[in-house]
This record gives sequence, structure tokens and C-alpha cells, in this order.
Amino acid sequence: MDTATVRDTPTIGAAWREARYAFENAPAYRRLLAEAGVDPSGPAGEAAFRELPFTDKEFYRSNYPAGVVARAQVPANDKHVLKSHSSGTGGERLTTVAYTFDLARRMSATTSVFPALRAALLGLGSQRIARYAAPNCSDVECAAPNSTMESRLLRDGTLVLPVGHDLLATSEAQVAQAMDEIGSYRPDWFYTDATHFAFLIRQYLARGQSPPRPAAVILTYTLATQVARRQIRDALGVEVPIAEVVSMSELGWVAMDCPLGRLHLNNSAFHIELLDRVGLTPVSRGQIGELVITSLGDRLLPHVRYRTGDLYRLMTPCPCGHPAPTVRHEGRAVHFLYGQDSRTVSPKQFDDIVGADPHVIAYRMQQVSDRRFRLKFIAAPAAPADAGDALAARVRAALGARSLVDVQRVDYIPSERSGKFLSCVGSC
Amino acid sequence: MLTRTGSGAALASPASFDVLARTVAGRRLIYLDSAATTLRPRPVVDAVCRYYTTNGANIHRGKHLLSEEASDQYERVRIQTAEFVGARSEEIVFVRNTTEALNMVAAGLDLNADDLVLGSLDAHHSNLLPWRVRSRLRLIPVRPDGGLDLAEFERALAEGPRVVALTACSNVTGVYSPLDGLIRLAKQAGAIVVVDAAQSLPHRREIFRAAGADFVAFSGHKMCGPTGVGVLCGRMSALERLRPVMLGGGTVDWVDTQGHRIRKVPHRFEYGTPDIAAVIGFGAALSYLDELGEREIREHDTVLANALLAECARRDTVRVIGPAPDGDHAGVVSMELPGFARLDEVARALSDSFGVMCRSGHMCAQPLVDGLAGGQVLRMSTYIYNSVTDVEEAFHCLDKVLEAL
Repeated sequence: MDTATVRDTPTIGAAWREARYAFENAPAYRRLLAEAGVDPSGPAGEAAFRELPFTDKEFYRSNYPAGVVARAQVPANDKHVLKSHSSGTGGERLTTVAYTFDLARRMSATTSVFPALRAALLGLGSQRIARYAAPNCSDVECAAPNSTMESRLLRDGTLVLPVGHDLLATSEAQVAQAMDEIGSYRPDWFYTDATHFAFLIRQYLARGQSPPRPAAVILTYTLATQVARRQIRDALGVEVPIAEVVSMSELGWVAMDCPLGRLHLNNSAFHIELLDRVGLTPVSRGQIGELVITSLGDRLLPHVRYRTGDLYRLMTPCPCGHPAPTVRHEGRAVHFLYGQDSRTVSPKQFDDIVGADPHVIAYRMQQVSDRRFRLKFIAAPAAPADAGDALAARVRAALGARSLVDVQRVDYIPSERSGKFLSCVGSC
Repeated sequence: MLTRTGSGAALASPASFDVLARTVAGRRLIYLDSAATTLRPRPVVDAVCRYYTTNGANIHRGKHLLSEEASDQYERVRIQTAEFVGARSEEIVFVRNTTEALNMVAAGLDLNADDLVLGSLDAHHSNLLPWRVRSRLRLIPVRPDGGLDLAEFERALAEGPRVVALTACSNVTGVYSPLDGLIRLAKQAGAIVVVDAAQSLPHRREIFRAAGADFVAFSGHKMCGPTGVGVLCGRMSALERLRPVMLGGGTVDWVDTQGHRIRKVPHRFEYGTPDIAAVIGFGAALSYLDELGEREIREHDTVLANALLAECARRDTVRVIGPAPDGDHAGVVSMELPGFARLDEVARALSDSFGVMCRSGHMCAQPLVDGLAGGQVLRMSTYIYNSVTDVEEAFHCLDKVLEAL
């Protein structure tokens, strides 16, 4: 057994029990196993577990609720059930339910990699959270005017701040409204998209105001670029703990940065597999694999061998000492860049190329076709005229001489249709 | 499939355009009427068919999967269009065509009959009539080389026009207007600037990005897109001041028995069910043009423009309307054929006997054609699928037609 993999975790027994529970309580999962000819009633073991078929978003979307929500559970009337409609576009949307105590348990376990941040979150007298991210709604609802702060206050104390569906085209009125609400609600911490939060900070600074100083900032939703992190860190100082969290609406918190800035997968609340996308076998250190998750002890909507579509590189153990697997979130496969001469660049690798460039405040790289790429970047106000030259040279070197890279210095970059601001977009 | 050969070759592979595989009178088809409408490459046709065969639902109307999928595709094209022209996505209004866009602006500005609007003699009827029926339209003359009379333009600006309606590229002469300077002067005079970019945007996309117009209008079908989709691109501040002329489904947030609340820009301008398939097809067209490359399209346009003028210059049977050889012009040339009164017969013979498709008439710019050419011209116009060889062959065929008639 390759000790470098994350497959041989102590959670295999619990994962097997999860599969058995799903088999016994979720009709669609029972059908899936029957079609695969797998019987989960036998002895547990890693080899047997890997015989279980995969599930994915389509499986949970098409079978929700009757096929995947465990029998005898009554989510609609249970105050401990959180229902969410994720905004995935192009058919990737998903309605899901989870017990709030399961989500809290996963969140708690995930934060164990960053004790100071954990203390900041859990040691607060109140739990006023502000969310600043894509509004996650269709244009019809987004267009509805006059939404009140109360109407955007969630049960768990999260205030969803107003923001434009197209982030960088957010109106002055919406910015002012968000600032007013932050001033009024005084959030303890922010749960935010990094690019969104950097935008918000720039709005404060542009108005000569001090940005808010929460007890902690959790960066999530999309890849936190280094240029966004730089702006956030510059504004908040080193005392405020900031960490990137990988979270999914169907599972909650899955991974988090440690104080050294390295991402750790939560392998105590989940059974984690990182699998090569071709052979679907566990990857070794340094290799990239797809994150496949099995929930543990989920009695409402168990997930078994759930393919997330997110690619991670398995890294060497982190000097921080935390035993959870250290990984690098490379991004989703559809957002990888494929240059000429078989060069492949992940969104994370591309962000490394840009780095924390002081002249850049936001960027988006897009593969337009097999050989054409378009890099748009917004320069910092004081950036010199040739601010993009060095960046362009680095990008062209990474993608190869036969790739055509059009570099544009702009003052606006549109968000995706989903409202997310992706810094790296593949052509798929 | 794209080609990347010498400067005289087609920029896009003719094989991508099924129409070009047709033969007429046993000859390959040469399409030289792109100023009227362009051909569509297969990816555009496929995108339109795919919408109808795999989806077909309405947009922005519901939560079912097909509707959301169609809405996503539609809205992605808005983002794509914004990126193409350097605008913000909210600044893109989908309309039927340039004509509708210009009428929408002319009507929505609530002009008075006394308001002065400056237009130009080389304007398409669509950038002339909507203004004339609502205001005091004054047309700036053009010089014999097709360029705007700049001295007259500046004099007219001193009279304080409310609107300056510019034509980025004449569909008759092919002459590109020096937009940057014209717009700067017009803005200094306090005018609202509207640009008809139907002929220029297929070749040059920087109009909105660089020039600072309030409104820019163009059509999808002149840039490889389907018919039925055009774009009104407006500065947000300008769009917010524009009164929506058509109201109904899709334009309001709230309606009760007493009143209604209008939707945000740009949706307040997009009334009823749009041509969804056309918009999706337009997105495929933009992708196709993106793959060819902005610079390459511009350069190809110049090469073919020069080829057209060079062929004209070799013949004393042809008199070009407008551009000087060293001017800034598109691959559009309109000709008088001295001694031939029936240009429609010439066009018909070129088509039916030689497979050369070009246009005769006044090109929906009758004041200009009347003034410069006595009422009708023969026009050849090129696009990405044309080569210099196409141009040379077309003129060779024209020679034969003129010999025979």
C-alpha cells in the first residue's frame, strides 16, 4: 500500500457503514448498487469499498428527494434541516438538504487545522456572519428591487449582503447599501468570495473609509487569487485570521487552509479519496486526482463515493503538523488551460504565474479556442503603463510560443453567468 | 475549420460555409454581398439547430431545467457580446437588428420637433428616418471621396444639436469615419452620440471601447450571426435615461391594477419573447470570429478593400463611388458603370451566368447614391470567407458581362 495516498484512512469502516445505510434507506442508491451488482452487506474493507459505484451531482439531482433522502426522515418540517438550492448553471444546479448539526460538526472538524481562526470563530459571543458573494439567483429575482436586510437574514445569523450579479458592474447604490448594512449589522466574521471581498474593500478605500475589521475572514466560493488575498491582507493587517475554505452546499466544509496557508482535507468528518481521473485509482504524492467524498454518519442525505469534479494535488505533509492530508486545490477540470505542445495549466498554477502582482487587482484568463487565450487584467490605480508586460511574458512562456495570448488591460471584467467571478476559465 | 495562409487568401475556410459549396451555372459561387448580410459558418447553424432540437424553452420565465438552461445560454451571449465590444454586460440590449436599435433610441429620447439632430448624408435609411420623423434632422454632406465634410460638421455642432447620429462605415462607399474625433467634438458640444456600426463592427470592434459613444447599434447577421438579432450597446447612464418604447412581458418587475415597476437595464428594453435561437447562434458567431482573431479580421478587411479598389482602378468601364485608394475603407465598393443604365441587369447576369452574388440599387442610402451616382450603384462587399482571387474573378466576370450587354 502506498502510504502517500489518502485512501488508507481510518474512516473506511465508517464509510462502509454509510454505504450500507444508504443502501438500506435510499431507494436510488439501492438501485444503483443493484445495477452495479454490488452487495454492501458483506465484510467491510478498502478493496470492497472501491467496488462501490460512484455517484455524482446528476445522481443526486435526478433522484432528489425521494430516491436519495433517507426514508423516515422528514426534512420539510425539521428545524434542524437546512435546504439549499445551489446555483450551478448549465444543468449543474442542485437542491440538497443537510442536518445543521452535521454541517456544524464538519465545520468544526475542518477548522481544527487553524486553531487561531477556530478560536476566533467559536469564541465569539454572537454569530453574526456577513456573506458577500455571487447573489445566486436568476436575473428575474435579482432584478426585484427593494429587498430589505431582514429579507436577506438567514436562520443561522448570516446576512447576505446585496451585490450585483455582475460583480464589477455593481451599482453605486448597491455598494452603499452593503456598506450601510455592514455598519448596522456589525458582522463578527465574513464568509465571502475573495474577489468580491477585495472589490468591497476597494470601494471602502475609494470613499476614504476604513474597511470593516471582522474577527476572521473565510474565503470561499471560488479560487482565492493571490492578488485578491494581497488586497484583503493589506486592508485587514496580519492580526485578522484569513483562510480559504472549500465548501459545498451538499456537504458543507470540506477543506481549509492552515496558518501556513496550505490546504488540508477534512478526513475525519468525511472519507476522502483522491483518484486519478483516467484510471480512477488513488494518486500518489505530487499527482493530481479528483476529490471523491463519502459522508460519515449522515442520516439524512448520505453521499457515497461522490465525485466532486474538483482536482487536487496531493502534497507532502505540512510543517504545521496537522495530520489531515495536505493538498493543493488545482481547480475544476473544465477550467484547466490546454496550451500548444501539450502544456496544461491548472487555475491554481495560473494563479501562481500571476502571483501577488502589486500592479494587478483582478484578472481573468480565458481559453478562447485550442490555441487562443485572452488575459484581461485590471491594473492598480498607480500601476505604470507597462504594468502588464512582465505578466504577459510570464503567461506566454507558460503556455508555449505557439499559443496565441491576447493580453488586455481593462477597467472591467464580467462575471460568469452564474454570478461567480472566475479567474481562470477553460474552453470546455 | 480555419485557414491561415497568405494575406490574399480567405481568412475563414470556405468549407465551413456550406452555401459556398453550391454551384451556379456550373461555377463555384462567389458571395460578394456581405454588406447586406453575411453567410453563416456551420457552428452557427449547429448552435441554432441545437437549441431547437435539444431545448426550445422560453427564457427568464421559470425554474424548470430547460428554461434555466436556455436562460443561461442566452445570458452568456450577453456577456460574450460585452466582451467582444468592450462593454459591460448590462450595457448590452438584444434587439432584432440595427434598425430596431436606432428606432428604440430615437423614440426613447423623447425628442421634440425643434430638437436638432445631426446626421450624415452617407447614413443608411435606418439612421436617417427615425430622426427625421421626430426632430429637425440636418444631414452633413460628404466629400467626393466619401469622407464627412468636417468643416460643416463643426459648424453644425455650434448650433447645439441634441443628438449626433454617426455612421461608422458607409454601406455604400465603405469609408470608415474618423469616429474618435467626431465623437469627441460631439460630446464637447453636449450632444448625445449614437453610432450606426452595422458595417464596421464586423471588421473592427473597438468602436464602443475606445470612442465613447452613448449608443452603438449593430446587427448579428452582418457578422456571421443569424438574422433576427441585433445589439443596442449603450452606456449605462445613457440607457438609464432612455424611455423604453415597448412594454409588456419581460420589461417589468411588478404590475398591479394601478401601475407597474419597470425592470433594470437592460431587461427593461427586451420586450416579449426574443429570438432565443438567434441570440444563441450569435454567440457561436462571436466565438467563430474570436478564433479568427481581431487583428487578423481587420487586416483581412483591408487587404480585400485594397483588392476591390485595385480592380476598379484597372478598368475605365468602372467609376468608384467614394474612397480614395489611400483612404481608410472597408471591403465594400460601389460602382457606377458609365453607359450601362440597368445595373440590376448587370447584377442578374453576374449572378445567373457566373455565380457572382453582388448587389445593385440604392443600398438603402438613397440620398447619398442619388447625390453621388445618380440613383443606383453596383456594390461588391467582402468578408472573412472571401479571397483576393474571389475579387479578381468577380471583376473578370464583370468584364465579360459588360462586353456582352
